[in-house]
Amino acid sequence: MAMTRDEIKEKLKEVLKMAMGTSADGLIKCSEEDRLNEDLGLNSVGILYVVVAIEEFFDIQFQGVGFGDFKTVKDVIDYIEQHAE
Amino acid sequence: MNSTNEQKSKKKKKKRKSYFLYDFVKVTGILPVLVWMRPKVIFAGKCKRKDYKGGMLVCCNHRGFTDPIMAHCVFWNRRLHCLATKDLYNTKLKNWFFNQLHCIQVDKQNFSMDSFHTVTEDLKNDKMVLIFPEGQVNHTDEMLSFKAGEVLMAHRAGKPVVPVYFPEYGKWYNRRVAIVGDPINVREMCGKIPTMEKLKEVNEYVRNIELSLKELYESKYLKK
Repeated sequence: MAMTRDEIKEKLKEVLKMAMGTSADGLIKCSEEDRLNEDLGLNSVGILYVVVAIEEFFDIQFQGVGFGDFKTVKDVIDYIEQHAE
Repeated sequence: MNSTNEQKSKKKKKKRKSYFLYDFVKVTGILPVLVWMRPKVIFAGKCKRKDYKGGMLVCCNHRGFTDPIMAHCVFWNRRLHCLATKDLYNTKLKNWFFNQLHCIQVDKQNFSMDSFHTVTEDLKNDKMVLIFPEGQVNHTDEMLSFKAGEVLMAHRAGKPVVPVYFPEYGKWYNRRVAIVGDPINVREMCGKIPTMEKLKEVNEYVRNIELSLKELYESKYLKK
């Protein structure tokens, strides 16, 4: 059964928490408009970590996409929504 | 259903590239390289060359464009798949050449997950992949910080990282040296599901091992 957008968002928050570590307190107010780089402070390796964790958690594979395609949390949720069964 | 599976396997077979040019370059290039570089390889740990079997991610510091050649001298008995920046693929000829040499293209500005998957798949298929975690050529004596992506790649594939240190070689005609450390099992160190902090910790550990190889070289071999 397909996951709802809220379920995806909650799971994604868990992944972001693992990626951000001690600076994860800011995630309480995390919105879909938050930018991965500027607002959540994820660098290229942080984004790579998030993507790998998403592949593991949601059992999907990111193909033909670059990190530049994911600017905000919304972009990530949209991708998962399209590809997760 | 069967026909679609057959089509997929055919596609996979088609995708498999030949090693002809790679082996040709390696065999014809070995003599000039031996004369020019006179490579000296020091295995600093317990492992010897024959022990470096299966999928491994070779992490080296980056002194110059000859580093991949030197890495091939270190593991001459293996085929190395180098990560190469997209900037090197700027002409059709270079694109063809680097593809034939089984280099893995990496876009540093807009990193593609396809590159990541290629690396992890190669490692899982027991291939040796060469990476420069400093991310750029470093002419200074101080080693730059490592990008933690390399630990993540090795962890995802469940394969070890091999630290290799190249000392400064000075003039182009000077003898080249490489110091090789023992493989580091990153999955054992990070656990099955690592946090970002743990990955950074292990990444720093790999860098420290390379620094210890540098110290070893300077204290034991440089004076001689």
